[in-house]
Amino acid sequence: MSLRPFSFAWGRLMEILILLLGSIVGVSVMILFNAWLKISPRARLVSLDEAITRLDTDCVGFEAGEGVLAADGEAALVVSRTGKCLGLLVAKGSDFVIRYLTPGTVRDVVCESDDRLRLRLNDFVFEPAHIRFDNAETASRWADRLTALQDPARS
Amino acid sequence: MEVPAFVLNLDPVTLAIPFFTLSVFAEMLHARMTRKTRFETRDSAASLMMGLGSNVTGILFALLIGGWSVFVYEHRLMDVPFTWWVWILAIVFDDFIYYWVHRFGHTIRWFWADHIIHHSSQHYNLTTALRQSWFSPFTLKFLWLGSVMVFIGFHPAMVAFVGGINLIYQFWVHTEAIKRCPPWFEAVFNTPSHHRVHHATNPMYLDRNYGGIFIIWDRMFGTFQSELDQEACRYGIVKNIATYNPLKIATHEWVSIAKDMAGAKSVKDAALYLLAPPGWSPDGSRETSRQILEKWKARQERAVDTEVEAAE
Repeated sequence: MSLRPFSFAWGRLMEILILLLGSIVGVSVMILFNAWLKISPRARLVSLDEAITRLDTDCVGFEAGEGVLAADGEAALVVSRTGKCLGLLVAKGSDFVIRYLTPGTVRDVVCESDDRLRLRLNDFVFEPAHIRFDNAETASRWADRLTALQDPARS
Repeated sequence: MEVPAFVLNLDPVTLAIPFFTLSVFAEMLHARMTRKTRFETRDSAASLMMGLGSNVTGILFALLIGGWSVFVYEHRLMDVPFTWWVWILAIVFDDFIYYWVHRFGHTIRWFWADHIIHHSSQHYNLTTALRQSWFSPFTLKFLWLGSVMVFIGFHPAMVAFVGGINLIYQFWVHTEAIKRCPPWFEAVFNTPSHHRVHHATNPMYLDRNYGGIFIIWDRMFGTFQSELDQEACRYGIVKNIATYNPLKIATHEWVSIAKDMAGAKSVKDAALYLLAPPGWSPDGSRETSRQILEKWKARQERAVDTEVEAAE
């Protein structure tokens, strides 16, 4: 019985393993190089108007009502004029992720400190957002608004 | 039929890996020097992990897809030789099929669940090119669309080879570092400018420019849109994801489809959640690309009317 097919399969397997190991090393080096170059600026909103403009651009027909900008500019909450939804912008790296919160979309809201909230959504791909407000009163007011959007069965 | 040795022994994608790697480094340096290209370390890491995972599952499924190709080839309509002009024909034909596979990938949610992964970054750089699905074979698209050429009579090894060339070509178009190519080139080939439009979520850019190597298919089938200086591209998907977790990136649309189907009120609704365009919902509470575009156009027209009235 010849061992050649076995040798061929073994050789091919080694080739694949070397390729995968090489890819892992290559990927790691690329990530480290990216981090080392410091080419990843953090997204920040300079004003509430900027947040409103972004919401309007993202969702045609979004008419902004009252809103609030996070103290660090990394998030904003804007109620739609009709009151049907609450626009949320959260910094994700050098860009923003937007959600339009309607009843049932909020999982929970936790006050982490007087002026800081942790917001979780019923959304598989939305990691908890930490929003810091200018003062405790503002944080409390928006926490109430967000809590009102929890699923009634859960809240 | 005798298969040329290089077709069996050379994998163009494997050969291109050093080129891919060096290009990513070069683009990162370009970003550092000019600030014209945007990178986010965690986003790049997620994209590269998706690429790596895609390679792993590709290896795991290779036997299944290879076996299917051999089966189809045994039932081919004719013998297509390995002559030079057949190679050109194969590259063009493969890209034509790619155009339709890609178009269905955006307009049928079952296929979109697989392709959304590639679009899920809000950045547009060469690492985005490597952001690929882990579970493509599950869509079963290879059973028909990927097998058309083999069924006609193109050798599976040739089809795999030209598929690799198509994939390599598409790598370099994922960049903001190249603004425009010469007009004759932009007219015929897919370019960074054309593909930026494809990755943009601006209503006028949604579901445009599906071509892989050639942009002529989009011009022929009415899906072409040029990049406009006054309309800067906003990259990503209509509902962007807020996670860098590769497993969530790989599965999120499948999870979403499963939830929608589980909550569907009829079998018809469940089927449409799977097969209708992304954004379809029975009560119209969500929006498809077409609906977003119509809404945007209506607003643009209203804005023009208001301007005219003001001028009068």
